[in-house]
This record gives sequence, structure tokens and C-alpha cells, in this order.
Amino acid sequence: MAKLARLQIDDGDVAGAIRGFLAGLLEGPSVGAVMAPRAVPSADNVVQTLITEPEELSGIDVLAPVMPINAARAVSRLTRIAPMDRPVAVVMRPCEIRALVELTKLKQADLENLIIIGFDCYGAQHLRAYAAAKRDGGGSTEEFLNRVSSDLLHESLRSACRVCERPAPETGDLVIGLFGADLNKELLLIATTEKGEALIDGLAAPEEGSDERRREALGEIMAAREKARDEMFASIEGEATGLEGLLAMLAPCINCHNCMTVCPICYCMHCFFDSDTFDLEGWKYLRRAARKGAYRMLPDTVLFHLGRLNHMASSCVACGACEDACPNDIPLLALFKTVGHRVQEAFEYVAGRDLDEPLPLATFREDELEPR
Amino acid sequence: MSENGFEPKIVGFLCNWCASNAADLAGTTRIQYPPNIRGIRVMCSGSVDPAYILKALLEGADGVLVAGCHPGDCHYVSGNYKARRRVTALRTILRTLGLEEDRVWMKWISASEGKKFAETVDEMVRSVEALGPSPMAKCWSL
Ligand code: SF4
Ligand code: SF4
Ligand code: FES
Repeated sequence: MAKLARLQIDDGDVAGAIRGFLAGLLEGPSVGAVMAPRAVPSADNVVQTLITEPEELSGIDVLAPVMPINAARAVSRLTRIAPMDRPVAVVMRPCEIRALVELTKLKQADLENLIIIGFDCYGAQHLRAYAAAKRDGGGSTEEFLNRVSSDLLHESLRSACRVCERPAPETGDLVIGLFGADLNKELLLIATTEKGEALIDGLAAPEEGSDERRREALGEIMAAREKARDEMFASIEGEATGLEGLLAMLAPCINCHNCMTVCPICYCMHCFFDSDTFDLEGWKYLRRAARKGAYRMLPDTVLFHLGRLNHMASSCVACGACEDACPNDIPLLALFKTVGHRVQEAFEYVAGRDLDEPLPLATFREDELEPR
Repeated sequence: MSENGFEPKIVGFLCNWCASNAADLAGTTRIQYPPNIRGIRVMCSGSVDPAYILKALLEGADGVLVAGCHPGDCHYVSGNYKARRRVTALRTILRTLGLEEDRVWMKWISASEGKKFAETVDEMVRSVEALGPSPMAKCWSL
């Protein structure tokens, strides 16, 4: 049984209701600051923003359907050198929480003093689409929620969101429950830890209860998304790709490494693939050209992608940040999610599911796998 | 050599404490094995980043063998177990993308197992011959 509270929504203003809740947190004794998405002055993007005073909450739009970066990167920046010295509530999407869990295991973030507020996520649009809609005077969060809650695979969603089968937070302290809720009336706040309970204790009428209707709605969403996901897997796997398929997919890659820069899991300060490890004297390139008949310059595009898969498929949370950042629309989410799923399956691991599950490549069992 | 004249090139990452001694032993005791393997001595199977396995495959190897100490015998305690996970991850990636994971092998071969080393190389060469030349090894546009 979780502890629940209901947050009333007036005049369909979902963002306003959540702002009101966050203001209450900042006014109370248990939260010193909030980090949440806030509209930039030009209004066509939101960015993760630290706020310490309730008056500054204007423009905070937690559910804005856009994800310019994975917020786990912001939390990592906030806590990597030293943990927070006072309680800070961070509001994050499920895939951002999963990335934070992985970064914590990788010792790139510290959860001390963090209060993690997650929310049921219907998905997001690509930043370009979001910005265009905003400039045309549309693109409101409420309009988006209306549209996608009745069409879970709506084409305006990022591809990562259309195949996201884990759209509800699995860890964290408090969940803003949207699934199964009537967003003209109210949404649920579900405390999953003691820290979370403290956040809703001050609200009117917290109750012991189950979020059964929400669970049902979540089940339906997961089923629809799993179906779409499996179709995507089939488009990548085995014979569907092969060397030719992979080369065709990567043909427009210009080695800009944007995908790596924005990936929340790729944290190395000095990436192997940006190093000169495989830089050679000119005559060695000529020798390779002679051996193969011809030699691509710059080399190592496939090595970069297979190498990156190898380094982080076991922790990929399928957030789609890589695909968003690719200038040439390479379907990186399909590639990384499919491979990530299979690698994680091989180690009975799900990235970001549980802080206590050790990273697959940092642990082992004596009696497993081949060779024995 | 296979019937069509294909001579597989195999790169072997051989642990300094076991498999590379086994290779020497096979040589000094005159156990015959195919000359297709190019051995690279590494301090432990756990020190082989799969990026190097990939690089070998992309630059012309038809197969890659990683050989380390038997369970419990790794000189760095658990390098071999971690290597086994890395190779499993790499093979899973290759399988998922239809890239012939059976070109990557991992085996335990102790310093005294010259015969096992020779047999492993023999078995791997036959298996890679059956797969045929690696498309990656030939491809210029990687
Ligand atoms: S590889 Fe792409 S989908 Fe996976 S965690 Fe990194 S940015 Fe997100
Ligand atoms: S962002 Fe796209 S073009 Fe740039 S390196 Fe990644 S896949 Fe290649
Ligand atoms: S020392 Fe031989 S595998 Fe580790």
C-alpha cells in the first residue's frame, strides 16, 4: 500500500497544479531547492533549472513534451564533485531516472540529499517540432497530453517514446501519476519512500490506498508500446541488418560524435574514440588501402558505433537523446535499444531498474556463460 | 587450407600466464597446428578491450580468439571472468546485428595445455573456413 494524495487541477491547468505543489515544497522545511524544466524566455524550449525561491517557479512546465537533454546529465553535474548539502527535489522523466541510476552506479552522480520526483510519461516531441509549434502559437502541454493519451503511438512522438515500454518511474521517492487520471480534475501523487511521504504529508487528505486505475492504464500503455517495440526489434535484428544493412544505416554518419556527447551514459572524460589510439603514420594507411583495395578516410565509423554499443549497451536506457542529436537522422534509438535490450537480457539486467543490481560488466558469477 | 584456397587469418589475444605459454609449449613439443593464428601476448584476458577485437575484425581478421587462464587460475583473480562477460556482450551485439558472432571465440587454456592450444587453433581454423572469408575483412568503407 502506498501513500497517495490527490492534486486538484483547476481550469485544465495541469502545469499550474504541479507548480503549486512545488511551491508548497519550497515553502516547507523539507526541500531547499527544486530542479525542473522551465521555459526559456523565448518560450520555444525548456531547460532544467535550479530554483530556490517559490516566486521563481513561473515558467516551470514539468510535463512540457520536449526533452532537450537527458536530465540525468544535469543531476550528474550537480552532484558529481560533492553531494548536495541540503535536500533538493529533482523532477524527472522515467528514462532520466533510469539514466541517473546508471550514472550513480558508474560513480558519476550522488543521490545523497536528492529527492527524486518522477512522473508518468506520455512521451515527448523532437525539440525542432516542439519549437516550431511554439513559434506558431501552439504546442501547449495540455493539448499534447490530450492528443497522445488517446493515441499512444502518435506520429508526433519521438521514436524513442513510441516504443517506450517503461513509461512509469520504477525508482525514486514520489510519482506524479497521470496514467488513468482525469486531467481536467486531478492527478495522483504516489509516495514510494519515506522521503516521498514527507512531501505529501502536508497536503490535504493523504490516504493509504492503491493506484489500481493507474496500474490498469499503465498496463495498456505498456502492451501497446511493447508491440511497437517488437516490430522495431525485428527491423534491426539478425539478417535484417547484417554488414550491408548496418553500412546502409550508418552511411550518412559524419563522425561528429554528437550522439556520444549527449548520451547520458557515455561519461568518460576522454573518449577512446576521440583519442589518437588508432591514428597511424600515413604509410600505414597506404598499406591498409593496398590490402583492401581502398580505405575509407576518415576510418572507423563502424568501429565507433560498435565500440560505443560495446561500452554502453548494457547501461543504455533507451532515452533517444542520441537520435535527437544526430544531424543526419540515423535511427540510433532503434540500433541502441535493440542491441541494448539483447545485451541486458543476456545478463538478466535492466538498465536503471534497480540501484542495487550491479553493472553487468563490473560483476560476474563463476558458474555462468561460456566457456566454463 | 580449404578447398577454395581460403586461408583464414585469426588474431589470438593470448594471456601471458597461460595461453601464450601453451603456444610456446605446442611449438617446443612439436605439436602441429595451422599457421593461421597471429598471437598477441596480453597480460591477462581481462585486459582485452573488445574495441581491439572489433578493430582486428574490421581491419582484416577472419576470426579472433581470446584465450585466458582457467577459472580460479587468473593471476589477477577475476580478469578471466570479466573477459567472459565482455566477450559475451560483444558476441550478443554481433549476433543481434547479423554480424557472425562465431568469428569471436573465448577459451581457457593453461600453460601446460600445449595440446589443447593446438587443438583449439585447429578447430577454430576449420570453423572459420566453413564460415568463409569475413565480409568485414574485405570491406573498404567501414
Ligand atoms: S545510447 Fe542513446 S538511447 Fe541509449 S542512453 Fe545513450 S542517448 Fe539514450
Ligand atoms: S550524431 Fe549521427 S552523424 Fe554524428 S557521429 Fe553520431 S551517428 Fe554519426
Ligand atoms: S592472468 Fe590469465 S586470464 Fe587473467
